[in-house]
Amino acid sequence: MRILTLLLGLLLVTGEVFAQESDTALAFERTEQREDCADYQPLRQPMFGDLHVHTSYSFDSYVSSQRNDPWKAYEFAKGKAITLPNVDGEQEIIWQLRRPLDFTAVTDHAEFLGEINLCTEDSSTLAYWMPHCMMTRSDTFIVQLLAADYWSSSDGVAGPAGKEIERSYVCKVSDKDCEDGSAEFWSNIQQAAEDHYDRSAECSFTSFVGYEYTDAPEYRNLHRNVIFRNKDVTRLPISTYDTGKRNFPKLWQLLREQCIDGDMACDVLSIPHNSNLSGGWMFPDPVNEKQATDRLFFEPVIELTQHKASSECRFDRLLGRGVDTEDELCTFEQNKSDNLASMGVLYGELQTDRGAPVSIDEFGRRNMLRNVLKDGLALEKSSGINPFKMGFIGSTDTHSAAPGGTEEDNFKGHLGRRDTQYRNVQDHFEDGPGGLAVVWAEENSRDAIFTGMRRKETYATSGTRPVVRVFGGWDYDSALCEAPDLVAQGYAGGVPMGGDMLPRGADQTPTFVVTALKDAGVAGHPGNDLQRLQMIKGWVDAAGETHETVIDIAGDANNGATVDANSCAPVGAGFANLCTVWQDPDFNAEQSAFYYVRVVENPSCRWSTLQCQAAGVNPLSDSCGVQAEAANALRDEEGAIGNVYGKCCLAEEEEPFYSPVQQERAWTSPIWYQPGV
Amino acid sequence: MKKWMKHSWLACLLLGGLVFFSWQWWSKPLPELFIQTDALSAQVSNWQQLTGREPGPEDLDRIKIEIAREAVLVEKALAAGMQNAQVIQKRLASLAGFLALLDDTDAPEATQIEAAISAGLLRSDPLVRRYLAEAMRMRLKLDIDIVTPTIAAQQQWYEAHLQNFTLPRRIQLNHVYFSHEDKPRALEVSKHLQTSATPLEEALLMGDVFYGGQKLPMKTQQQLESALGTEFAQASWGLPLEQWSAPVRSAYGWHVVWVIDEIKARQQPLEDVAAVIIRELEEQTMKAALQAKIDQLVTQYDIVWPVGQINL
Repeated sequence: MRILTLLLGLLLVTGEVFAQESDTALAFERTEQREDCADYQPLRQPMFGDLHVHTSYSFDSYVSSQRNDPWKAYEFAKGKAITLPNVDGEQEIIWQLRRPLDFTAVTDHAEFLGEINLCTEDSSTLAYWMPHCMMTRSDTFIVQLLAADYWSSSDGVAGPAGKEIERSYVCKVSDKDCEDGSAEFWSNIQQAAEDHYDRSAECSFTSFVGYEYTDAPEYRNLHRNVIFRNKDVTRLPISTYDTGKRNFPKLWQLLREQCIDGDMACDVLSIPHNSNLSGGWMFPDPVNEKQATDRLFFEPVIELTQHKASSECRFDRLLGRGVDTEDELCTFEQNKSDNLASMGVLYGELQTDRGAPVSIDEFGRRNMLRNVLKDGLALEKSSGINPFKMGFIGSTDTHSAAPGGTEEDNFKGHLGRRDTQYRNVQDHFEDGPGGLAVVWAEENSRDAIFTGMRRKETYATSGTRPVVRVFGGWDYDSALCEAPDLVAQGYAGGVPMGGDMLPRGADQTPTFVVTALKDAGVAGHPGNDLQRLQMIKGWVDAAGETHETVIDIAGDANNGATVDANSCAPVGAGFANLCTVWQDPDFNAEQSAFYYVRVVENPSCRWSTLQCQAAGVNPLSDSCGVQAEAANALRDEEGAIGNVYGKCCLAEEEEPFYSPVQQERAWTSPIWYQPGV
Repeated sequence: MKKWMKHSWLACLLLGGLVFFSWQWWSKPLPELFIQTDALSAQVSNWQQLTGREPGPEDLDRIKIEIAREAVLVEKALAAGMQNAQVIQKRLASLAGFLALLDDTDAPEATQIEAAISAGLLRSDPLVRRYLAEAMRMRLKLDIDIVTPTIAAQQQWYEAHLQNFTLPRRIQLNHVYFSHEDKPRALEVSKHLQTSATPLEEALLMGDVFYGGQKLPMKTQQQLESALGTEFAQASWGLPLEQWSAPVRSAYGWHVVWVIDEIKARQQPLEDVAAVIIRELEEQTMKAALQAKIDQLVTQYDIVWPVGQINL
């Protein structure tokens, strides 16, 4: 036996050596056994993906009659069709992406992973027959809602912050407990990722093993997606049962103990999302340096946009002011509330006051990432460390196992029967298809993409696929846009998005090179033209006050492009590509600053506008109200409850954020400048 | 025997007796399984709540089939003694208490269970029924032997789904880029390149800078589509190797393309994908076998449906 072990050890060591020898030419460390990719590009290529995906293993997905598991989710990401429930819970809605993704992580909720396993998998256990398990499996809509309420409130993920968390009684009635159930599903999640990961030279698709850490004390969203670099993962997902509530630093601590320090090949990120719904709790000042450095290590990127709205910035058009911003494009995809209770809309009506709209003045400043970035600069000034250096990604947060389901005209909802068909505009009007994560990587492999996220060379899109590059340096030629080797010069003379610019001297001015290609689209569905590129700068002055400015650096904000009010077809042209070399005219070498680029597309119809129109209710028509009444009458006959299409006719001028016509966009990770570094 | 059979009356008697007993045996009536009006009504009502409409004849047939299957599974489970499972005993005891079936609320559990059974709850309580049916399904599944699909079966499935196991063709190309407005220049450059021996690096400088890169590595058609749009991917896919093309349109403008190299599409061998095929075939077999087994059990009963109007 000893000899066998020695031989095995020798084999592993030689394998490791072989792997290391083979990647001498790679720009990243290869931590797994796989073939090199045929289309390796040293200057990197954009990989489009989704790192926030729920399947039937998540309690809120299952109770919405959604039955696609992790394997199905990966199939969907790769371009295959899946079947989803209709409003009646019957599996008959077919959904398929027009364009597959390059990478995906299934991130089911760690919380209740075991409970859902016990409730749904094995009828020979007593747990399977417990009332809340039966309710979870029920096909009756109202019973499902009660089950959802059970899991998500009281002792569940949204319980009070101070209350000790107890596992559901479901865990205690069988020999097989929730840890066993969790282990079973966790094993399946890993297997599904493995089955769909292309380790050949084709590199057609990358999967990541992951899960969602689902802490939401008092409905304040502190969720994070935990993404592992390769197949080496923790024994079980680390959840709020392990950390307690409102204690995500403990998550980092446990990830360090069980992954980073526990296994030579284990590496992991946690990606926060929906700070817009965190009630101001997502980004507290770190209590010590360790918390600051842990955040920087574990959370290099944040999900800026997704199904439950965007978190860049917030501007109320009715009041004419925002949350520490005057940026009028910050009305984009906002949730009126600041916490997860706003999801509780049924038959068109919000069922709880907890999720009621929150005024601009009461809205947590750090719910919005631009403010967080600014405060990071201020903290750096006072404490010497900027704990909020984060790149951006987008994702969907689909609960319909539909990664990358962001096409506005092909959106079937992201919460099973709860938001499919007419219920989407009735109950989930403020939500949307969500966004995509884009990572600049040398090849489509786990190591390359993970390393890209670590260096924050990423950007978020609101669901479309423009290709954006940003470089920041001191010596770029003003004619760089004409250079065929722009990218090579960009890397050689500075840093890409997500990087830190080293100071050069008081008389030097940083220069940024920005290129953007419009979304190429697919046959029959061309991508929308670009309207403009904007540079967003944040800085901190000598007094420690933070500031921001938004500057149009390319394109034309007044290009006259719009949409046809009846067909939603784009009217007027924009730009197929844009490039500019921009210098900051107000640069002060003594002030810390960040710069990120927002790419704004020409106007297009929001998903809700398209779905309302498909039902005969045109939000862009003066007759919208009459049309909605007629459409409601038809739905009434079919048994629908409540005002189904009323929200289609919301008047933009009476709404703080909503618009039936939107401008899709991309947000690059910032480039930071810090004096004296 | 032959001697006895010579008596025609005796032969008739024996033959008659044989026919009579055979008839009796063959026409032995199936055990009747009564479906309660309530059970059907509940299912139909549930169906209506879910769909918002009344079931048509075909819908009603499907509902009935499902009810019959569940009823038979319940009967079989009872016959197998599955009601003795702890979960059911506890449920029955708790129901007896809840429904106040006994005057003595402190009666022993066994008495409570007996009372619940006497009240017909074994067959009428939906939770108990569901447990019994599920448990029986599990039992039936255990009895199904899933034999690893033969190589021939794997081969057949593999051949029927060849498209799932094909590694696509890839091409590697360089291109000279011109904006949408510059088609005349693209035409001019294309003609020039086709009739001259301009070095590749020099040729790439004859157009505008393309921010998506002018030297593309090996890409599938899908990857090309993702980078430059469907129109470009389709057009460049048919281009010959090592020749300058006429201008090809993309989402961004015009491109004069030089295809450097290709890797032809190839089939993954069966042995590389056997595990996937085996899992797929085993799942299919299990599902079909279980369904067949349940349907076969249904034929062992005379299902008696309630007569008259369904109460909703």
